[in-house]
Amino acid sequence: MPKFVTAFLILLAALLSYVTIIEQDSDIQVAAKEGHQATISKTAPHHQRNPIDIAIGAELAQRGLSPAPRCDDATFARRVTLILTGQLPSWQQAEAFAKSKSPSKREQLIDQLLASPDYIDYQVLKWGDLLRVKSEFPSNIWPNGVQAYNRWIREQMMVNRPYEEMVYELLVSTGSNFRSPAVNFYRAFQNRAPQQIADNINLLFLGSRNSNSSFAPFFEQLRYKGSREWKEEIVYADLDIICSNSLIQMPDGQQIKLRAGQDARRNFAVWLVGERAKGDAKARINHPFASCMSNRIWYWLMGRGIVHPVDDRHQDNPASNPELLSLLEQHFVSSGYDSKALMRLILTSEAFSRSSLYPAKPAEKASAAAQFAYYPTTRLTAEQLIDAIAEISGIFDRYISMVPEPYSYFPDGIRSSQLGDGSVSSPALELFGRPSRDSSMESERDNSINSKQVLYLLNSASILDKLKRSQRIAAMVKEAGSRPELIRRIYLMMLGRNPRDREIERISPLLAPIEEDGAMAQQLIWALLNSPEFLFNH
Amino acid sequence: MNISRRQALGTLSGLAASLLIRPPLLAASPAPTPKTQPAPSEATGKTVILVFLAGGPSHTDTFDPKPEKGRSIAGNYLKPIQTNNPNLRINEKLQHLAKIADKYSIIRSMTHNSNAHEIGQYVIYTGDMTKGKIVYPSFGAMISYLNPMDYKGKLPPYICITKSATRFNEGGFLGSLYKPLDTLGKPESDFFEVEGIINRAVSSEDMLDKQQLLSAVSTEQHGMIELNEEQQLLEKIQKENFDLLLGESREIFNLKNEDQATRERYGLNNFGQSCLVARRLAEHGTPVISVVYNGWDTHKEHFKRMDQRLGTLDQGLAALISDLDKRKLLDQTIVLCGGEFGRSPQVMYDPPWNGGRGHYGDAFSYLIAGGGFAGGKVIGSTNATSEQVATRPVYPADLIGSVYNRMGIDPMMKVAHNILGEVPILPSLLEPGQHSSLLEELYIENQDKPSTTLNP
Repeated sequence: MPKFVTAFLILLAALLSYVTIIEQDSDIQVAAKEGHQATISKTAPHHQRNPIDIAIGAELAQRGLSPAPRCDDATFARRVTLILTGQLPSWQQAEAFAKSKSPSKREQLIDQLLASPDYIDYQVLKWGDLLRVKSEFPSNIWPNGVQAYNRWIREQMMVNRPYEEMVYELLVSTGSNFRSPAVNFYRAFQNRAPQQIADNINLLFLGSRNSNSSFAPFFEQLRYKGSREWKEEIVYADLDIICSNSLIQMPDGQQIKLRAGQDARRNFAVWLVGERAKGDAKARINHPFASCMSNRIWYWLMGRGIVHPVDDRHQDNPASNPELLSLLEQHFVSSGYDSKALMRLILTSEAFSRSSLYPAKPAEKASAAAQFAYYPTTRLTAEQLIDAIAEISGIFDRYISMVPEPYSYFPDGIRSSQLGDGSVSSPALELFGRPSRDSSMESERDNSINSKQVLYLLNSASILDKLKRSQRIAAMVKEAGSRPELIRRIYLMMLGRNPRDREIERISPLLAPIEEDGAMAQQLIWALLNSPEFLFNH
Repeated sequence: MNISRRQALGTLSGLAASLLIRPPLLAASPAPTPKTQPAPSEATGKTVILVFLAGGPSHTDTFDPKPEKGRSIAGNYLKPIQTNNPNLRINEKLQHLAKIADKYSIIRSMTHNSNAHEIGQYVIYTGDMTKGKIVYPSFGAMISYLNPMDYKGKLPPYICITKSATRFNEGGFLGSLYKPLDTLGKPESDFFEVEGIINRAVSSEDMLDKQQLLSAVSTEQHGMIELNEEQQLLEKIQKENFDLLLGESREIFNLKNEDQATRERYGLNNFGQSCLVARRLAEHGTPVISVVYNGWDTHKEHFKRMDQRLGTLDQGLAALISDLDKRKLLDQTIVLCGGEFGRSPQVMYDPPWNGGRGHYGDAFSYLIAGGGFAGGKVIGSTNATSEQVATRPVYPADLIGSVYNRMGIDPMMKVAHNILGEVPILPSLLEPGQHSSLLEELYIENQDKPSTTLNP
């Protein structure tokens, strides 16, 4: 009971601070002058208290934990660019951000990134992982189906399709895998038994690893048939089939009656996403559904779920901060399931901006991590790392899929995060834990560090060769003009920050002689590539 | 998706308990309880080498010829040769293997009924035919994870020469850590560069300089980035790897250490030299080695391509087996050779195939040698057209279960799984129609007993 009261008070406080501060804020005028839309939702002034921070602040205070300080601008720019686009800022971008005097430059960067095509690419990758988009085993969607499905996912991301609409469309999809791409949703399961499909959906949209036998009847009418076109498959509901149970008790207590001659998946979809009519005061919200995705988006940006792991939601694994999660859920629902708006809210919080440095005893540190007192460090993901190496050298790997037919050739200069097919890979991507898309669990992406990876980074002929052949690095050496400037640009490119004097002093004697700037650049890039500040998002 | 070694050991010790709770399926289908499960310390197999013929080699044109059926089945290969095993005839191009048939056995009754590359490969590498909701790791990944030999070498425990067949993810639910290290590079060239381990361009002096620079750069970052467990692990692994890069282990990949006659005996080509690298790794004690030989998916121009490949396969594989034998390593090294399936015994003479063979999972052959498996045997048989298994079916789970047994791993054991709690390492051993029995008739210790082996 007291928890509800606290939650209410926090919300009220948040709402009040939101309204009052906005009115007096001078940043709005600044932003307006610079040509930005001075709307409340878009430009959040930096000193305004984000409701997220009020909710986190309450928990931290209760536990006697202090939050880490705000991270510096360089760390922020690198972090937010990586997390939204999977890429590092270029040295020019890093420098421009450092030099900008705008008090709302962090918000501006967030908006700019959320509006970029790279953000779309990166969201397509995340959804590809979740929906297990893969030509071959175990999804076996095959190349033509994968291309159609990817295009569909991309379209959803480009219009920022409301999450509940997108899920609804997936669940009731019918037709050819080429012409109605959303049906590939039902083709990507290794096993097409109704219970297995239900289990996958339970994991994907409700974050539960348990098997719920009451869901299975909804998928009993589902049928697949071939056509005369190679690898075309039609997914449909056979309405003559009577489901094994016609009165189904849902986990929230609702009873659903299935009628003969109707597609039972619709009943399930309506129940799952809640009442679809917008603006209806009586609209039913399915809290686990909205909460699961809010938590997932939080995890994508913050590196740790409020319920953690995000796809292991059950009674004994409660949210570390229930008020925070319920606040995110409410924002998500009231914005019409607008994923971008939720991301913007999270990214503009102090919590996202915190330093990753948090010296504390292990027990206290674990608690601080669960309460988001500092930002966690994570090894760059497979795609982030491989694409960063490609971008630094300007030499991109070539990706070809010779199996299965039809063969897929990818254009030169494509980033690994844009491949869109879990079956198209490279030994390096596999080495760094790219998810195999065997299941929809976030933990399939393995960001832990191991010996084989370190060996590869230290001594891979492929990396060293790229650095050596790189015209981009050669041009950088030429343009820099002087050694100190070259070192500075390399640091900016690799770490997003300027080198400190101490660093320069320490490493200078170890670098190639002054007349060999080209060799020095390769040497320094190699060393930074293997250094912790580069290898981790922090 | 990390399951720690400690959890794995916990599973081993909890084995007795887990075996008591058997699923009801067992009653319907008696599982092949091994009569003799050697303890890891007494296991006969220390290393397993899989020579994988990716794409699916024809069984009729290798180890299961049917010349009496004429060109409709045997195609151009009408004169199989007698081996030094009186019960075994093999393709006429396999001259070297014919002379050492006492060293290996042939299974002619492999079956899994799948004709798709990706499913065939998954089933052959994992033994899992359950089509369940989880994806299993390959047997190589499973052996690396369980590590029955307590391998502690500096090189990774599972090495693939040169590039894994990637039609499924070998790590399965164990995650990427247990996947093989792909050497990449060209073992047949003057200088075999191994990705990450041997780089022509970097001398030992260069490596020392690099170590010094990296140390300076990283130390200066303390304070910029948290020195947490992960960072400390990174530094520790970096140090170990510099030891490897500056040490002797990588000489294993330097084929210049072999005399020219040996290199020639394996064949001066990619496959032959890959087999030679495999032998050197086996000497080092690497628990799992795979040699991937591509190009066996011969839908068209089948006989022309087989003519090109069979000689190379014969030379490399025969050299590997005899060399291991000569060095007294065959007793502890299991060698397997085969693909994800066989090829349709009926030659497809019509266009567009014009003399090709399709995918065929109903019946195919595997070669098995060493590590506690007897040589000179022929297991099972196919019918007159080689299209169906006639006697003693062997499913992938039977083959892999037998390899596990030889390596001191109980094929019936369970391991931790992050959703399902515990799962059997070979689930198909519990499912009817997905296994028959382990290859106990090939176990070396059963050889003086009356044999149940069926000869053709």
